[in-house]
Amino acid sequence: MVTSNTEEAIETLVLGLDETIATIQKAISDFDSGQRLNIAIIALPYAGKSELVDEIVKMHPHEVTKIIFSSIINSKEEISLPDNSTKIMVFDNCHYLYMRKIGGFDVIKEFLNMIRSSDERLCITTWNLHSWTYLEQVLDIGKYFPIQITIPPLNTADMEKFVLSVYEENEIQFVDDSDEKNTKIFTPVKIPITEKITHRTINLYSFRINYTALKMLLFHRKEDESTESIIFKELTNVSHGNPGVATEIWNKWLEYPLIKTSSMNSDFGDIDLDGTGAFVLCIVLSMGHIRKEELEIIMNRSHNVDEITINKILFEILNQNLIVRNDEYYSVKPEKLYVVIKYLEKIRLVW
Amino acid sequence: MAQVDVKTIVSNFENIDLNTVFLSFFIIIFAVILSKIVAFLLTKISEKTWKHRLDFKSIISISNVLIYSLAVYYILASVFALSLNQLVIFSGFIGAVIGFGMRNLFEDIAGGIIVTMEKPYQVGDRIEMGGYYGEVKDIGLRATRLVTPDDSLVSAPNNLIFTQCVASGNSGSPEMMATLDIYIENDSDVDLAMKIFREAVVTSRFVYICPTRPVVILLNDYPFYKGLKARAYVNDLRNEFIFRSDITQRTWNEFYKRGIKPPKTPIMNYGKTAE
Repeated sequence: MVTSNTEEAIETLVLGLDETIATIQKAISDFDSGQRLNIAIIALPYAGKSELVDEIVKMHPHEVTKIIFSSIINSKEEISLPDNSTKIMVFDNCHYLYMRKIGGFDVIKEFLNMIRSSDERLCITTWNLHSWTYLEQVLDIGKYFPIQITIPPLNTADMEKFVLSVYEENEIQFVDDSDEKNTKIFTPVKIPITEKITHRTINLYSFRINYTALKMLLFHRKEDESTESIIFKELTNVSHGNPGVATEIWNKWLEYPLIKTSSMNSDFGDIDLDGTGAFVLCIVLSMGHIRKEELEIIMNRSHNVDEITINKILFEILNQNLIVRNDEYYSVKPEKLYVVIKYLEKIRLVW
Repeated sequence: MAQVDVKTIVSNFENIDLNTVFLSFFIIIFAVILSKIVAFLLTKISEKTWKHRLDFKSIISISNVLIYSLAVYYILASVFALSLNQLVIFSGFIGAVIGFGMRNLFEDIAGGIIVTMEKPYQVGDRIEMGGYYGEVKDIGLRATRLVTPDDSLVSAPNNLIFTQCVASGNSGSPEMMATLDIYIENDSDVDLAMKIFREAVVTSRFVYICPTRPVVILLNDYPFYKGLKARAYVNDLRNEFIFRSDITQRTWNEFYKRGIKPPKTPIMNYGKTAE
């Protein structure tokens, strides 16, 4: 049963999340009819899961109790349900309930047990995608959440609406200033190789491909295609439809009030880290935001990495512009998110 | 007809001059360089496309066989100007010579071709062959080169595949199973020990878990101690030993903190055990 309150709310759907919200609404109405199916909302950082949860809260203001985990939870006592909790419980950032260390699963096991035994409440939880994948393999948490929703990427049209929603009409001017003929698609690069016998360094020459320019040349250049369309297509493509990532990339490209095709650059460079550095990056990615003290607890106590090494690694990763520090929290830079994921998938630190 | 062909072969070989020798030598050098370049490029590509690392590496041995075969064919057909019939006769003659005089080498080459075609193991696999265990670095026509855990390069003749069993730890997959054993005192808290051991495995940065690659912890009861066995997959087989070390170290660190101790050997500690 969908109430008139929710019917109104559905009209103001969050961009690109129509189906997702409809699924959640159906689960809530099923719960009213006696079928309890807990929900896991799974997303990458910056994909908008907290905004989705806020939307649900807005739709059911008197039925929802929202609990946000904003840092790693160390103790089981911190996750007990409040006595006055409502029929729908929303737990945001549940990936903060575990740590990838020996003894780091006690809190999340308690939480899952609490959810399992709490028959009178519907639980809506949000998770970082990589933490979820890890916990699914380690603890089989999918069994506790029959409805699993992965936030879909925005398409080009929704991306355009989302990005331009903060500007007045015609406030942004789109300029096509790219000179296709002069854009270098192949750039010669030197690759130093150490020769085996004499150990001398020899330079081999290879080509680096500018994929953005290549794609522009192959796909984007239709006679009747507007500059605006070209830019938003590329923005959606580069950001993988992730609104948070797109916002950051947009801000980098924007020379207010102009946005030029020549500013579109999706070459975010290579990552060069040792095994421990890559693991730290994996932890930062899986947690979304993490404090140095929390990293130390994970790395120092369980992985025998001392504080000096952690400082060195954080310094190195910050220098490579892969992560950013806000207050005391470290997180992957939005524009580097997919580069980091690709790198960690390549070395199989995320699965 | 065959006599004429043989006479032509003999006359062709009698007419070998310095140019022919030089050209043949140049083709061999070219083939060696080309095979090295192909191997280098395929290795580079394999490291970039991590998922298909071993697929690319497996092409290296095939490309080597192709390049060397083409080089030999080119030398015989173009430099020595042998016709197809003469080539067949020449091959038969060479085959007979090799068969009688260089049997082992011939077996090695046949083994190399079979390894390339049948793929009982590939470049990049962890195998046990001829009493040695290590990562296959190169499959040559004559020998397979392994790098052992202590970084020794072992050349195992390819003919071993005819006479011995070859065990491949990963069969072409980038991940491979590693089994780890840990022994604890008989009166230890087994549930706690298994929990710690499992968590040490699943939190390792070298572990790879998926529905077909699960982590399994087993308990074995022995007369004087208890044995825990973990079966888990290492994300990259090159990390096998560091994976084992990582889990062992972290498990024992936690065991000591939680009062779980290694078994006392009854023979070494007979008096105390008796008490």
